[in-house]
Amino acid sequence: MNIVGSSPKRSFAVLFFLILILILLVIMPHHVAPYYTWIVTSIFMYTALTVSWATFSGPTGYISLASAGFVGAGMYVTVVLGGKLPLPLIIMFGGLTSLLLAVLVGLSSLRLKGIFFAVFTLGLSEALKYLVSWGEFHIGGSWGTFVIPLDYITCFYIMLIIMIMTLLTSYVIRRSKFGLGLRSIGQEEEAANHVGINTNATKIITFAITSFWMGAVGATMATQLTYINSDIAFDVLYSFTPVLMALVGGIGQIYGWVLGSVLLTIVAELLTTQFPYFYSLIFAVLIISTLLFFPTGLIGIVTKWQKGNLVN
Amino acid sequence: MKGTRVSALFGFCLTLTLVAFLYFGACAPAPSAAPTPSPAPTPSAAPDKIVFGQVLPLSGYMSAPALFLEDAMDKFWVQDVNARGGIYVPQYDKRIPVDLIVYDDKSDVAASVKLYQKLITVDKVDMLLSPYGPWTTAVAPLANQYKYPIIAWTSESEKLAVLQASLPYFFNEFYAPSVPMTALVELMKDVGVKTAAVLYVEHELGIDQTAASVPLMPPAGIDVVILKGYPFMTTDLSPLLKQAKAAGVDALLLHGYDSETFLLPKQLMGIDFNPKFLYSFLACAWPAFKDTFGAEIVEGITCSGGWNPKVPYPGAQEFYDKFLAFNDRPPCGFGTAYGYAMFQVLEQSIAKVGFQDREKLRDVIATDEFMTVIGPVKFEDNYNIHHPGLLGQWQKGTYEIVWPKEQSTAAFVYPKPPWPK
Amino acid sequence: MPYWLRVLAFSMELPGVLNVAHGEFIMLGAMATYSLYIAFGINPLISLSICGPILFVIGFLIHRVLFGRLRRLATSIEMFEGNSILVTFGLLFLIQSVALLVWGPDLRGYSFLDSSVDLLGAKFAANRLVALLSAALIASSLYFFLVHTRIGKAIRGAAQDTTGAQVVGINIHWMYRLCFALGAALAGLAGGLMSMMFPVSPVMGFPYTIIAIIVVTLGGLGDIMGSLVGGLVLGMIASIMMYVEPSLSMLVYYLLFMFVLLVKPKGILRK
Repeated sequence: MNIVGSSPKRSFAVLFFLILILILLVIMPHHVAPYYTWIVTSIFMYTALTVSWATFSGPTGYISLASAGFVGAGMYVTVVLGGKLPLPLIIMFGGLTSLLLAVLVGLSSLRLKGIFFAVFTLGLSEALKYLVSWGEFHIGGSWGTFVIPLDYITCFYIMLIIMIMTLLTSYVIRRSKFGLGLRSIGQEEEAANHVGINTNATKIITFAITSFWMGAVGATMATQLTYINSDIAFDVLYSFTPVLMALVGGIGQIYGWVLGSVLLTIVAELLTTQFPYFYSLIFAVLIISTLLFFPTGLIGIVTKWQKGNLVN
Repeated sequence: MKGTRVSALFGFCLTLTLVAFLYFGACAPAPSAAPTPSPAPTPSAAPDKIVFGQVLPLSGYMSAPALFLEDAMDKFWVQDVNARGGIYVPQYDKRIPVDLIVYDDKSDVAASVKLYQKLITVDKVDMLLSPYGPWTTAVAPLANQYKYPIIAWTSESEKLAVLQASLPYFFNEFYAPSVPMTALVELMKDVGVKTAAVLYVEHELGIDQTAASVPLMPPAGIDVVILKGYPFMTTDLSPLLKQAKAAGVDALLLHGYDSETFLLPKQLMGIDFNPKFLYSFLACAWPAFKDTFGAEIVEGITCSGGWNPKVPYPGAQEFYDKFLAFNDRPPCGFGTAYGYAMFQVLEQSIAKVGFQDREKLRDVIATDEFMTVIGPVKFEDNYNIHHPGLLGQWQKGTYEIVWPKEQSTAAFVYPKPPWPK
Repeated sequence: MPYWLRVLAFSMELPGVLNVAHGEFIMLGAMATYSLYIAFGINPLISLSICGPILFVIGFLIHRVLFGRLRRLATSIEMFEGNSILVTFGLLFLIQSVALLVWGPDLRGYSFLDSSVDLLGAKFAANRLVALLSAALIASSLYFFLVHTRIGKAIRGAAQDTTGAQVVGINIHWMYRLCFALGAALAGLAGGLMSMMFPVSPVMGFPYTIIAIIVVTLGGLGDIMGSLVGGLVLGMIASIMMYVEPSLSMLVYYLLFMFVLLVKPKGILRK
């Protein structure tokens, strides 16, 4: 499914929009209150997580709930290496740690499908949390660490870069033979195997590459939290939120994922500040209504509406 | 395909709109990280409200104690001070009413930090109130960076104590765990406890307290026979309690959260173990603890915290009565009074130098001595020196202060009376 | 003891659905029993007969409204399963938020049969024994229902061979709905029993969901007998861990869980 049509005019228009948005984003931190910069940084973060997650889980249908594990791993890399190495290196190590973790997860779970895979990845993420918690206390001697904070503007730009890289990675994967392989796996894995696609390699490589960025996000986020413990780093919400965002946006397309994460982050922020005592309730209703009434997400709604118009 | 193209365009336009909305909506020409400098107080226009800001876990796993302690106290104090007309501000020679903005961080520390930033940089509140317990460790550096004095009254983190020198704007009315733990060990030694079992939650509270209490026991002649950590959110302590019973220890100490304190009475009764000295920290002194189990069951349980309306400090009984009337329950024997005392410190400080020059305000808080419902409060190196650990015990349905002896309202009962049949 | 019951309840809800909101049904039963006791002095054991049916109805309605629609919308099994997990996740927050608004977040508890009883030389709390007996009673009633009544047999048939069952004329979806509702009811009963022994609050539910998922995986998803065995196994491991190294308990549960998934995904019992 092409994101852009084949006409060069269309591609040009899209590119123009993208560059415009980019310029606006780049100059933003110097013109708005820090809180808004922070919100946009959050948007970048969740977009990166959602796109990373959906690049693998979307086409294949393998719902991974291990995202929290990858983010947490990245965070702890910062905890351990913070101040000892230059930041870009730390972020890279964060990503690499996640990648290795993903390879392990992928290799061990090759035989699992569907709900088993989902539950396994969730269990793994939680197990990692308890392992790190135990290790931190029993081996490290203390529990919870202060992290050297990074100024929020630098963090903004780093997160922007990570998000762009994630989008690029996703786009490249989808357009490549890997993308084709992933979609075939999603539709009929047995057949894909028979046709000669190395499903195992495809799955593991994609899973690993996308989780690299999750680790990078974690490593960067850690600098903003000032204090990290295993509950914070491996928060299970980091696993469920990308799934939700991709669903709300529309699970088929990249721009659906982006839309979902942007929208939900903003909505969440508004709810938290306007209705602090009812936040959970409203969010729950939102989740349920989306799943019941808009399972194809916002993009799905628009597509249907458009199709409806075409028919008329 | 046409449908897809339109969807793409729609998606991009929406994203663009959202970004633009943020951009323009947020277009306050606020500078980046530099804090808004406190303006010199202008004698002309008095502000019509002093705005306080706070972020609390109103939902999520940390919400119960936060709602019970901080949220309830906040609401009580706001109506209490506004009933008096507000806080007196010398620059305008009048009382100015108080307003409170509260955000829910959903028990997420990252959200807490971010929302405090919002309070500071977007809502531009005049004063900040400390977050709840473990979250304070993350927020203190932020408040310090923006030069907002914060007085914590539910935090007892050893880590923060260590950082104190670099956090001049952060005050702790509570104390680092070493203080209440020292008192605890002294009391145990005084009554002749020889063996102890220490159970702790492997989380911030438990770890800090255990690290403070356990090393003090051998020199006091107390043998720590059992020292076991349990995971956060455990619901069944019976196996550990059975081990304590089998070891026949004199004292059982629980360094855990409210949910575990609430497990103690029944699970101990169930295995028929009545330690001579039974202590728990969090929630032990809460009225809900007594109400849930009844006065007979909680009889003789020792808790940290020494406040009841009988203390000889001005306003204590009055505070008790007003709180009871407003909240339909009495203030607990531990944290609640500290909260009110914290507000009293703020009120008295603002009454001296006003609230708009936060640097001056910080200096006043740091150097003055205040009289509150918990007695004198004075900060040295930003920690309140006037509260050596106080310990209390439930006796006949009342929470009595039992240690130190000079401040006690009743004598300590040892050994603990047996469980009712 | 009520442990088994909770797990049983979860596995009943299972057909097609991983109910992440399972713990919330337990919580509802517990809070309702507490309220009935405190407000009206109703004996918790009698409350069971009130809470059970109410939760049955709630479970039934939820299944009809939520999962019925999800099933109609889903284009594949994976999509249905995935969306079900997410919907129950939303349900978790929904029920919890409402409960918080109704009861507030404080821990509650009450005293009922707390004294200890001498039994065969060892001491137990009276309420634990009562809970055990009640749980056994409920479990055996369920067994009787499944084995000796027509509907029970229909359920078992549907579980064993969905196609075959449909051929014979059994309405599979109705069976699933019934199962889910039964599961919700059982969860509520378990919660009621637990409120006698443990403090309860609107946020108590989630850990129980996790344990249930682990146990049921150990026993084999969907296999009721397996769940009972899984419960036993986990219970034993829990006790061992508490004596040896309590801080590693959760980690060990999860490792065991992952191990079983990889090596014997059909559960410990199956060949």
